[in-house]
Amino acid sequence: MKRSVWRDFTIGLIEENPLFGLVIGLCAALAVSSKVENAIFMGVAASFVMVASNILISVIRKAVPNEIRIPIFIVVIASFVTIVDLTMKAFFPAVYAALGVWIPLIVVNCIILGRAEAFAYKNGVIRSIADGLGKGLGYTLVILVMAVIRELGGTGQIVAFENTIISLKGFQPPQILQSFPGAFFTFGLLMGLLRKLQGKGE
Amino acid sequence: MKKVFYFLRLSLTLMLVCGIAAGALAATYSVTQPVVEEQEKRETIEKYKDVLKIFEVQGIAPVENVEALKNGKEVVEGLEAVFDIVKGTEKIGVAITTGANGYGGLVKVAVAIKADGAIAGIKILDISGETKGVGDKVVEEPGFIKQFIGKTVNDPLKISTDIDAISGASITSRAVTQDVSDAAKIFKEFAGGS
Repeated sequence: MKRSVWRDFTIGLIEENPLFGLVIGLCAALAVSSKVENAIFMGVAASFVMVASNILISVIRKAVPNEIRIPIFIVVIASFVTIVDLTMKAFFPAVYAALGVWIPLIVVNCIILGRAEAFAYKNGVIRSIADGLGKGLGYTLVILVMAVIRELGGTGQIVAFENTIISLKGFQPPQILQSFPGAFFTFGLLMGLLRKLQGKGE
Repeated sequence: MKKVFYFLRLSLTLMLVCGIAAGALAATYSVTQPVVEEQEKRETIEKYKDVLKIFEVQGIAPVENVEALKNGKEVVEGLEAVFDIVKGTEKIGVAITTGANGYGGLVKVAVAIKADGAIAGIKILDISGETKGVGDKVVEEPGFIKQFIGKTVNDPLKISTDIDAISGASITSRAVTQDVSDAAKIFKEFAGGS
């Protein structure tokens, strides 16, 4: 039985969410989720690479010999990542400086190679786009929620695009939320909460 | 024989993919690189504007070939930037930033040299590697920096004979003196003529 295209998209949001469902590609997610602005840009960058590489791999999948599919996937993904990297460096230098090494590291983010291997190589273009969008949006949503919690909780305010969006008065922010242990706590608690809501983990 | 062709086909496919990817990247690079360079230039000027305030200059223009200066002839280590100091359209001097090894890293100093070779001003940019409360005396004791002002690029600048080191901060003092004499060297070698 074939899933609908809509289902290909929605399954990436919760059930097969790359971070909470499949639990892969965590290190970049934990690192960039300390600021909302960084999380948005990282989410957009990773989603773009995911959709673009899914499309291209799906298009060329019949011409790609099985034995050398992985090197070809890597070349395709690395090219898109480098395009994103160069574009960000030229047009968003401040964010580029903050995200630093995490943009080039999208190349080795297993979510993207995983989608190429598990989905785009076996499915048509439309379904691959839906899959890439769903996984990308799922990824972005999770790091965005984490970033809101960590930035608001850890610094007492959210500053994005040179505007202070929210500022908590008279609140002593626990700095730990900004640090890496805070990222693990936030991630673990959110994931536990989600599992509880799904009725798993009894 | 069949196998040989098969492997040949695999390698050619991979080569083709890599070639296309390289072409796409080259195209992107040629679009973004000018923007990046423009931006870096702006950032550097912004950074040094603050520093050059003490020289009361109206404008600065980066010397385009600082990379060429660095690569062509390695006259000094740690040369970071060279600017022409301009008043209106007239070049009145040169600002040179160099870094010399101090106690715990590079001590970076910006030196402004008038067109006639007189050292007009010195600003210490970075002493973050030096010991707190010891190395930073070179900034806090204005008498140390004053020793350089008015000397020319042809004067000898030797620590403890021409320049008195700050007692207790001799390594940092030596690094600053090294920076200034490096800047003088750069001025004499390249940047002096207008």
